[in-house]
Amino acid sequence: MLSLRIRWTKQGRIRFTSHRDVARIWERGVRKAGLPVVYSQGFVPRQRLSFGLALAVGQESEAEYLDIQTNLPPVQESAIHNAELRHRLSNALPEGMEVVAAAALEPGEPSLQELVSSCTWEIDLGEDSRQAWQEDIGRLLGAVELPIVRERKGKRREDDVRPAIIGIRMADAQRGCQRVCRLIVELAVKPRALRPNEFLALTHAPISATRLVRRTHQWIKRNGKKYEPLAMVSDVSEGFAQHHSAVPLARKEVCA
Amino acid sequence: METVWPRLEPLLPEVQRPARYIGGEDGSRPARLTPEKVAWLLCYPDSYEIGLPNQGLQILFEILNERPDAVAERAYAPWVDLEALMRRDGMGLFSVDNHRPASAFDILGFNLASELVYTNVLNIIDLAGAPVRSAQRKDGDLFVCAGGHCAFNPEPLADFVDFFALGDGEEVVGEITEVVAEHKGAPRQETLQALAGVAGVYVPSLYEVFYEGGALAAVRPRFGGLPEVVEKRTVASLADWPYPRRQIVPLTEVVHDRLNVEVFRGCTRGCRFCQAGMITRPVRERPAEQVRTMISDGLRQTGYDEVALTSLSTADYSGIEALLADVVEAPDNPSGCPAVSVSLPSLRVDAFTVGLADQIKQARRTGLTFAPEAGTWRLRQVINKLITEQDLYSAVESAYSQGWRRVKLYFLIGLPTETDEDVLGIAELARNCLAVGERHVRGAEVTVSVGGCVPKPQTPFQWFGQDTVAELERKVGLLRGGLRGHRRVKLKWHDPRASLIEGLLSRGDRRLSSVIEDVWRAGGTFQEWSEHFDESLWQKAMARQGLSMDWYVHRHRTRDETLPWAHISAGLHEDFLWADWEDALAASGLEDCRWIPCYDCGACTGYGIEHIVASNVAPAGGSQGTGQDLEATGRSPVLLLPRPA
Repeated sequence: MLSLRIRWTKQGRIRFTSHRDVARIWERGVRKAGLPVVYSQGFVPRQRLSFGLALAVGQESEAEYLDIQTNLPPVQESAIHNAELRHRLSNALPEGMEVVAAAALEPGEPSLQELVSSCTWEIDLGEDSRQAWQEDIGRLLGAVELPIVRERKGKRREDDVRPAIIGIRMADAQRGCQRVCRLIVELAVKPRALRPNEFLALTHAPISATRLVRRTHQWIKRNGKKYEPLAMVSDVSEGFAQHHSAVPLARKEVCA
Repeated sequence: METVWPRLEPLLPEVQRPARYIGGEDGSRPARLTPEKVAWLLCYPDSYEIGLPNQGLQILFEILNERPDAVAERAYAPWVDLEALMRRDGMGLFSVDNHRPASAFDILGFNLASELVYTNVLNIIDLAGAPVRSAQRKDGDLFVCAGGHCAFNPEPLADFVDFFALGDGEEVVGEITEVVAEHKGAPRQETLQALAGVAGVYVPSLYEVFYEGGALAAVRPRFGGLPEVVEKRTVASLADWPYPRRQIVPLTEVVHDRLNVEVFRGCTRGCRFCQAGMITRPVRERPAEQVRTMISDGLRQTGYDEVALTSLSTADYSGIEALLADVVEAPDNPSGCPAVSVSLPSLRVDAFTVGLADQIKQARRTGLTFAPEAGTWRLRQVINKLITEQDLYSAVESAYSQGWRRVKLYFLIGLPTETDEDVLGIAELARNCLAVGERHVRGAEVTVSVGGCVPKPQTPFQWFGQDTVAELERKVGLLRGGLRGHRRVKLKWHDPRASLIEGLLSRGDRRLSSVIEDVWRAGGTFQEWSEHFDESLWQKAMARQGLSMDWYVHRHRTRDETLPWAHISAGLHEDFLWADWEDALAASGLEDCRWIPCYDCGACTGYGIEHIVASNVAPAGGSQGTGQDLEATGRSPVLLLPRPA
């Protein structure tokens, strides 16, 4: 039995599908790709797929993860070619979903839900004023506490979300052929995730539904260091990546 | 390429379930649009979730895109939230495939599967940028066409639709394409005249309606050379049409989200309330080998693990047990999925056996619905659903004994000659079924679902006056009384007010066009959705037009009356339908003609075609319910595949 960890992207139109839609797309995709996945026993057998953090409808991601339990022999004996596997899975997925990395999991590796402690997000600001955003950054990072009221299981309670804001910075970026101003924020997912929309609600320009939000990294903390569950690798030609390492992303920007 | 995507994309974060507008589904690959091609925008006039799985449109989508002279894309009714934003921004209807504006197409083609979508049809024509009334359309405007079951009474939509295509669409869409291609740039009227020459095509503007007093007198062609009666099209053999070859797999959840393989078309059981059974005759079974290929190719291409074998009565497919065994036991299935789940929509009680139950169970247990339709044997003879009480109990026993905990029973109320005793018979059957279940499983349940009978055109019940809302409500009340104290029998019923409007539109004439337009202009879209259905809009519009609901819906018709669809034919002879109606009133059943000599209803003889059954093994239940005495393995006196040349 061999478990695989898959890193995949969700970009373009497909970002309007829900977490539930994506789960079904993966179930069909795994069958189409002919991957020998393990099924649960019971009344309605289900594939043993375990998804990481959900992504909200409309958000893009360069760092989605999925663990798949397979019936493949242990990694040393598996004749699966990493690049071929990525290719086979990507072909079975719709446009905009692409498998960018795959690796065998060591037995006993905790689930994605347990591992991930924070995520990095990019938020495109478009024409918004730079000055006001700079002030927001200063104010938020300088705050001692940032109480917000949230509802959970029908109960309203106040949470201090300041500890959940790990970092904020601004960057210039290119979106298509347009220069845009971009906010890069790292938000904690534990003990309770601070969502990008909740973060934006703390700024001078609370919510604009049409703003493009993209998850670029999920982070694991181990021995005081930060790792990604699986690095985005562009040219692994064979074998499985056994180690986590943070590799900077090269993003393709195509200008028509 | 012209696309509205840059305008649509910013709206999507603001609407519910935006994934239904993005296209990009597996299997949707329209051909390239070039100016000389005829471009079809195929539309299901309801939400994407209901419309996408429609097999008729998927079949035509593929057939058209395979042709060198055509291209087809798909559209669905935008939900009310997106529609409001589109209208605010002056944005029109678009295809989901390439997000092309409707103006890039030549033909807007609707599938009409239900009457309550008629106001959506108008709304979509309007969103497509064409005048809703065909008389106001000019050269260069879209041609609006419609097909599907409701086209067998096209008159309520006659003022909005340029032409209707009657019956099976596989062949006629090609012929229509050729005519439209030849007439590109020609005056609209010339194209319509030419289309009226295609067999199966009805151009309502070329037919004039005459009234006498308040009643319909005649519908006659305006010019010579047009058929007095427009006959439907029928494909002789499904074997020639193994479509869809690539089913479209949605990215978001829809109804019937599974592989669907049509195993036969047509039905000769002869249930008298069933319009589908009457208008799709004769029975044409797909060869078993082709079914197997379509299943294994389909599963591999789509990644589904569930297949539905579709037809009007799938347990009637000859050799169904052998077919099921193949599907369940030998899934061509490299992924190691334990089993493919099979569902058989439209199960007949009399053909459901322990063997079938066992086959379905081996895969995965799906819901089981049986439709006895009426509560007493007398009334089942009236509607020609000739299953005995014992048939029902054995079917239910098969299910419970194989481990099902709940079965669903479907009944109609408001049937001809129905008495209170017949209605209470439903409660008795349900209680008895529950008792059967309790012998086999703990916590057995029965769900009883009742709908009001809506008499349909082209059926023996077309002369029958529909029950009023008050009468249907009274009968539901009786039933609730009959089931009081039986907590394990759950009763559900269809809104009688929705049945009323369905009845109005089903047998309406051309005068209803003003009513439909009124309701649409008052905002009455998505009328088949209970949260949007609004009876008062229809009542007000009827009053404004000076029309009587009672005259259209509740009145019994006489044989000498000219029916609004008299110039439209599904092949059935009027004297056959009338004789069958008289048999109904006499509670006399009529046998399934697959197993006996022809009694000339007209569907085969009129078109020079015959039944096709795939094997000489009679359906699972043998001849039960046909009123005949055939052994389950008896040789069937019908044409067998392969057909002689």
